[in-house]
Amino acid sequence: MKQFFSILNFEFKGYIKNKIFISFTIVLMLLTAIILSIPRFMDMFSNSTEHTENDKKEIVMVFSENSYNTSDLLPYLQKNMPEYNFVVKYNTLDEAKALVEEGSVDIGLLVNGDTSYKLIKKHISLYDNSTASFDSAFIEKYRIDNMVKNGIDIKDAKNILTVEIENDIIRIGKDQQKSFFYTYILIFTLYFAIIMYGQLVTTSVVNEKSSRAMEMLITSANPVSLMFGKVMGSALAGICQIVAIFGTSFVFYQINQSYLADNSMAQSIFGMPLSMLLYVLLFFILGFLLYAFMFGSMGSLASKTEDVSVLITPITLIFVAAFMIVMMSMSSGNVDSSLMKISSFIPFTSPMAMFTRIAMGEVMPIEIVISVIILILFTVFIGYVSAKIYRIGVLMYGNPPKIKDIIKALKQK
Amino acid sequence: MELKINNLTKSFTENKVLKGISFSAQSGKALGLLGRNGAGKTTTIRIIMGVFGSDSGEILIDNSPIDRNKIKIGYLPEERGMYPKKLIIEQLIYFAALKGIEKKDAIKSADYWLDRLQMTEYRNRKLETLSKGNQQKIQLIATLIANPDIVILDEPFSGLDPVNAILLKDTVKELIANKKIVLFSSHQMNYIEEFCDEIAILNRGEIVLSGNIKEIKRSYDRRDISIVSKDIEKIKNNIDYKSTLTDNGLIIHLNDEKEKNLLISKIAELNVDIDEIKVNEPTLNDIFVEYTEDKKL
Repeated sequence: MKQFFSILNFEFKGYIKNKIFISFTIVLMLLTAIILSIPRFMDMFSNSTEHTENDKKEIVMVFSENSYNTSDLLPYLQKNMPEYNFVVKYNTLDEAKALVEEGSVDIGLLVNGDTSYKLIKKHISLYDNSTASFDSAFIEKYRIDNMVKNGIDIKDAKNILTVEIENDIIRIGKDQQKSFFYTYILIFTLYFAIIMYGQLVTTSVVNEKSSRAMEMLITSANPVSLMFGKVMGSALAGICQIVAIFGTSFVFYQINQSYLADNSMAQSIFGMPLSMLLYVLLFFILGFLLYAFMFGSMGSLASKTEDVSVLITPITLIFVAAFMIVMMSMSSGNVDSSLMKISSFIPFTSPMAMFTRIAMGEVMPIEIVISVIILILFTVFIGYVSAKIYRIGVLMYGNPPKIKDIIKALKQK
Repeated sequence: MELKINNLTKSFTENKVLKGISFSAQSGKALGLLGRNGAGKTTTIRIIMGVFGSDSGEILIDNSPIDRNKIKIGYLPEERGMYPKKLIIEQLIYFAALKGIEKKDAIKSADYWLDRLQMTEYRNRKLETLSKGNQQKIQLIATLIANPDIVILDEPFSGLDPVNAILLKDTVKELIANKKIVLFSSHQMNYIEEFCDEIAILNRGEIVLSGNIKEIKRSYDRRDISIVSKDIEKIKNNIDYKSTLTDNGLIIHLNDEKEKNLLISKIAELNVDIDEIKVNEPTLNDIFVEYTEDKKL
């Protein structure tokens, strides 16, 4: 046990003293801080521009080349587009073009009739949507004119057009709109953390083998301690990194809370119930250990870093498949499909699938308990088998052995 | 203390690597474990270290099964290597910790050995910045840091320059003087002869010869006398025995061991300048080759 803690301590320190690990964590923390502060920056920026806009509203010159009475249109325009100043003049198209060109007028509106107009603009920006606002002014006027023509009182006509519907949803189950984002983020975190740290465990084992430090290790320490110490050390480093990043995001959310109030994504993520955080921690630890053991034992079978990718591909494929199943179920909204139900009890997929079902679907407490127990038992089993493979693998040099040979060697004890 | 290896057998998937190995080693003495590549030396060492078990046989310390929690074993593997990117002192402490040594004691021991092997200046450097010979000295420190009762050195002299070789020789002598059991595996027979009183020669998983080197040599024919002299020709021509000229001198083949004195008095009569006269013993090298050569049937 003492040996296990020595190894855990050594491996853990190996991570937190590693410059790449430190800088990677800091970059992620900074990114989180910046992303969460963006609304505040945007707000500061847009506040300052709004002031100047008030002083300098764009001028729209409304005119017609026929007998159309542009003054009737004016109230509708002002109501629909309060950000503009409207002036009514009697010009020709050419004169209007000249005015826009020289800049004394920003937009020229040539009204051809009740349902037709032309805009004269100097530039059209990428996000130009001014026709939509003009359209709605024209449409409103057209509808009210016609209603009045058909004998409806102008007040009633306006009421009919501006009617508002009251609505509310009474929720009995889970609100997927709210849980979607945090589930998404947590599943992604789970996915990247397991893949990244799993591969780090593999590389670390292979490096010990290729540098032959393994000869010293295996003759000084028990392989089970070596395997468990390494995997737990990585898990601890991973949890520290995640806590650092989530902690940063929490702090910056608190600082910028008022600016994020109408951001549904931020609301979903930070409105996450505490129980979800505990679940994610549980499934992270179990899923991480399960995969890290497999990655570690594969690392022990490789003699060179080049062999690693071939050996870990099967594990990566299983894991990616699990990730795809969960992601597709999430985006379809049906997280309680039979595929997901089965997946949430299979240890390879259950860390992500069961977590998603807890967060977004309907799941009985007993199902969670069963899934977690299966996962724990299976992880212990895999840990045991991995340590055995590891003990055999670390002394093998040369080409990676075939599955047949491993099973043979395992049976030999 | 006595380490006794009793009838070890081990096979790896149908391949019989050890076919009943037995030998013993005493504290304060070094045992030379000899054998060609693939003879089973490393397997034997790994079984002693407890990396894996044997199929049958036992390892005894003073006639009771070895308890690896009590008996510390230090092993310098032939394939050298530690963590290239870690600080030397850090990894020394780590390897000591794996053997159950507290950090404080580990630092003390590491500093002693760093000083002893003239490596103190490298204490806080990364291992990869050192030359191969110096890395090997660091690995020797890792082997000895936990003050092991049994020290297993596999080819400890390969890659060392003559000055470092002397340092290592002194260290090995110190270990022997400190009543450690030293198992010494090497193909450099001169070192074996220098340190080891006893040898065990392994061939294809079997001990083909074991015992005290001097006694083994004594068991060989002692009728050949080797003479080194400037006047070799004169001796050869004035002696009645059969003789052979070699690169270094002359070998005289006596009919009986007891004729030695007779030969000496005859040579003395010749009044020649003699540099050396001795019984022509086989070298350890000769013995090793004799016992491990693939004999053509």
